[in-house]
Amino acid sequence: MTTTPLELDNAILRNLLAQTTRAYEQKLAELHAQKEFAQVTLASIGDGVLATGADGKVRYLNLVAENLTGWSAAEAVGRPLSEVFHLVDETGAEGVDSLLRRCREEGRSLRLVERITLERRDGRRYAIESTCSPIRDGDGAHIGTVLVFQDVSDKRLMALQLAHQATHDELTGLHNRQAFDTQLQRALEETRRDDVTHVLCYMDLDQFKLINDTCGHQAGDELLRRVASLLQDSLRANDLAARLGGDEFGVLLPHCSPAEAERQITGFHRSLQGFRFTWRDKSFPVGASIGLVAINREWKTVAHLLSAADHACYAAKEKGRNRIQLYQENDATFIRRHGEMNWVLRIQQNLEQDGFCLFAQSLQPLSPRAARGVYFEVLLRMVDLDGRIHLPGDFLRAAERYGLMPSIDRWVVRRSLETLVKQPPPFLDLLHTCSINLSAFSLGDESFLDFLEGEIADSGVAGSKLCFEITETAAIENLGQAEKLFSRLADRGVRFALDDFGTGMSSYGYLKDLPVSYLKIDGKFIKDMVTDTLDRAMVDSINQVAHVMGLQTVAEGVCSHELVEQLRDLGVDYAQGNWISPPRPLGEAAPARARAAV
Amino acid sequence: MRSRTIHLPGGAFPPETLSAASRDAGRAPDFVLAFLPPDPHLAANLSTLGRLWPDVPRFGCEAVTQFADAERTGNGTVQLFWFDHPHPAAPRIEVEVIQTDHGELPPAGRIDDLARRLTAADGALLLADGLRFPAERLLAELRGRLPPDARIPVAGGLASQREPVTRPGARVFFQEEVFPAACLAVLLHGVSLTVQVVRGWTPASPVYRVTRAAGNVLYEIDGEPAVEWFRRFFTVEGQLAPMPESAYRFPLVLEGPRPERQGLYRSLRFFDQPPGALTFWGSIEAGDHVRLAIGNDASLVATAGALQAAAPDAAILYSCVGREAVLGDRASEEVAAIHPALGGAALSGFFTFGEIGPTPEGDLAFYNHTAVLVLLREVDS
Repeated sequence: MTTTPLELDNAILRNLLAQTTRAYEQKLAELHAQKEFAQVTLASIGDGVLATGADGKVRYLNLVAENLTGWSAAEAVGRPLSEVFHLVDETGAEGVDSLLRRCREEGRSLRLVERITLERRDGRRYAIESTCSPIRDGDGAHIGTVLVFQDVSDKRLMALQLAHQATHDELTGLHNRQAFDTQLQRALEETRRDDVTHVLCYMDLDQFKLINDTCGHQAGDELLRRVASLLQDSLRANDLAARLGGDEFGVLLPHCSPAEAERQITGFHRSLQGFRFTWRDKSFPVGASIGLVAINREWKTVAHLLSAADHACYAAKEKGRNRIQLYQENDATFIRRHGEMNWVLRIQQNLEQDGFCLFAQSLQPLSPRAARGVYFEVLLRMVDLDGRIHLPGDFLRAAERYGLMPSIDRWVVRRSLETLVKQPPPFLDLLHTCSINLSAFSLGDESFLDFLEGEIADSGVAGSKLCFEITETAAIENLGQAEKLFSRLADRGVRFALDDFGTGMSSYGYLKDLPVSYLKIDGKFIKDMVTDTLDRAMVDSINQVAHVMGLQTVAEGVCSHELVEQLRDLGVDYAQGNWISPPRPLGEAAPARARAAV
Repeated sequence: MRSRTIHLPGGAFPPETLSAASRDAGRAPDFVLAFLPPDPHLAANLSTLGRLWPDVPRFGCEAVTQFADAERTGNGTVQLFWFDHPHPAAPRIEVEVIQTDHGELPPAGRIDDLARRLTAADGALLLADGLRFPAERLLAELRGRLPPDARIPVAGGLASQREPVTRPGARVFFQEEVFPAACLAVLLHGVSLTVQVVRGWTPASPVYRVTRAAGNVLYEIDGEPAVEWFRRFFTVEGQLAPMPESAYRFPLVLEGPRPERQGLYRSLRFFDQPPGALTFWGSIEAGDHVRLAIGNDASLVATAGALQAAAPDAAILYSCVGREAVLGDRASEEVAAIHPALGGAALSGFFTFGEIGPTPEGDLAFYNHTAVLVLLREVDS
């Protein structure tokens, strides 16, 4: 090498420069690639991204931000943020400039999730959520702000829908029970604070069950919608109507005297009376029993208020249905309701403390078709602490009114089966029919059928030894459920009897749809039939129709030898009554009858 | 403290020159520091010093080129030191000779002891065999043993010898005895040491990362064989520039990432030895960030001339032989530029095979391609 050291160094320096240049070019290329990548990433993400410089003017928008703001990046860059990112003040929320300033001053990200609306350049509005974050350089100096935002219009709409669903009845669109209770609570508090008066209206449709059962749920639903519509049309703007469950409706009439409320609700009631619900080829009148209660500072709780309104509604029913009744503390009807309340407490106590007992009343076979085995009906009694025995007439009304019948029915079924299996042999072999009463309330209880099937299976008593009695009225009012229950239990050999037959008679037609085995003719036709030819004719008629349909008959309330003879002449299959066999405790009666049968 | 540096004429010492200095001071010096050429006169000259000042600590090392005040010489220098306040009962200077076999580290107990004594001293000078003593490894061991933030001023240099090293040289000596493969630790009490590391190089390349290295050998940079990486810079007109001398003007500078390795320079010793690799005078570690720096005679002299130093009682300069090569014909100008800043204080020193000095954080470090200037001032002990 002939170069001098200086020339050599210069050549090496040139190499260094070339290598350095190359290295920096590579670095620049990497940085450029990183920047490209970052920009592509920003452009690709689903959120709108908008960045400003320290002066608050727009420096960057990605594609989503362009779409949501309506500004292209080329147009927006250099403009004040508030011009491009135009927030509409819905709730007094701070403007975007104030937001930017706060973000800069506090030096942290601010999340905006409250009701913020972005107005696009063309006026279209979007509900958005946004995060506003400061941008800092390597030395920590504030050099701008970045806004990341999403279109949450769908989400917010859904939230509104969910909130509406949470407070409204899906079927009628009225408020639901929970929302109504909340408003009642507020109204009650207002009376204490401002000494004002509101009125609570509580109503129950009179024909709903019939329409629901005879025309189906769709018809029942449509009826509820129509009534709700009529109700809303009759109310003032500030009145709040709600569906409280089933066919019960409530109305809160704020700042209203009882007299004004009565006028208002009477208007609705007239509309209802003028309305006939038509479903396919059938037409029904629709009535409602309506209770009104003045809401004032005397009421302690919402529960008390609702209870009083319910009492008033019940009183309207008592007085013949389809009327309006204002709650009055000293009204005899309400006093009786309070009496029922006492019964409720006693029933509940007795259910818990095993304070009920079962009696049995045997049936006497009269016709050659009647079976010769043991046949008795289980009867319920309540024993008070003082040993006094109450007949069902004393307490069933309260039990029915306050929803205790399903519990009572379950107790009766379970205890009856337990008693049967405890009897010494050959009792079960000799037993032909043990007849147990079920209430209409249990028919409407979806879980009751499962309960019955489980209890029968667990007891080991053959289904063919059992018969369940349901009143004719209960069966008609719950025709759908009755058919289902009869059908499923019939598969196990269980039989059914229609009790008190004749009292609610409108048609024999439905008998074709119910797989019943016995018609128990109500005692009111029996007791005078020796002297009353019409009653005798009724009994004869029922007996004949029943036999034509393959059913056996039972005459209830038989109280004389003459009656027995007449019933035998008519061909009635069984007789039941105190003259034949007074009720006796089930544990005693059953074996005794078994012995007698042997 | 007073100090005087005596320029020796070469060959055997004329005793009268030395005794005159002692006479002028009125008493024998308190210690004697000598940097003597590795020649056949060494033993005789050490005997002469012993005869003149038999009870005085006398120590130093072999050096090819020495400094005597503002001058560069190859004949050897002797620097005499007198304390203003000597304390015979409490020695202000302790000299310890640490010998090793075959370049191995001293036993751990010996290093522990040295660390304890360093901690108790006000400062220390280290002189080591420039070819056979693992000075850099000893510094690393001491770093791990000294208390955190001890910041004990320690400076020194590695003895040098003419290449090729076919004859003995680069050794240290204490009193009349010469020690190969040894290190002298001179512990000072009541003396303030200020150490300045003089550089004069400018970063000249991007930063690269060492991906394979062991000891003083660099194998790969950024996954590329070190020799190939070096050729990219040092190939001129299709030929590799003369090595290692061309690389002296372009030393490697360490840029961390470990703080104690920030700013250290490394001089190339062998190119393509072992094959494909580069061997330096100091260690290279995998993970080191490195770049080439650039300098020349002018930049080194200019840096030396810009030095600021409060007038000390005495000074010692350890400058790298790599700088000597770069300075070339101007090799005398570095010390000539430094000395005026010392306010007339006596200076000695030599061109070393490696310098010892502190990092900016005060850690012990082994340098190449720098000049380590030690300023001594007596303080009340």
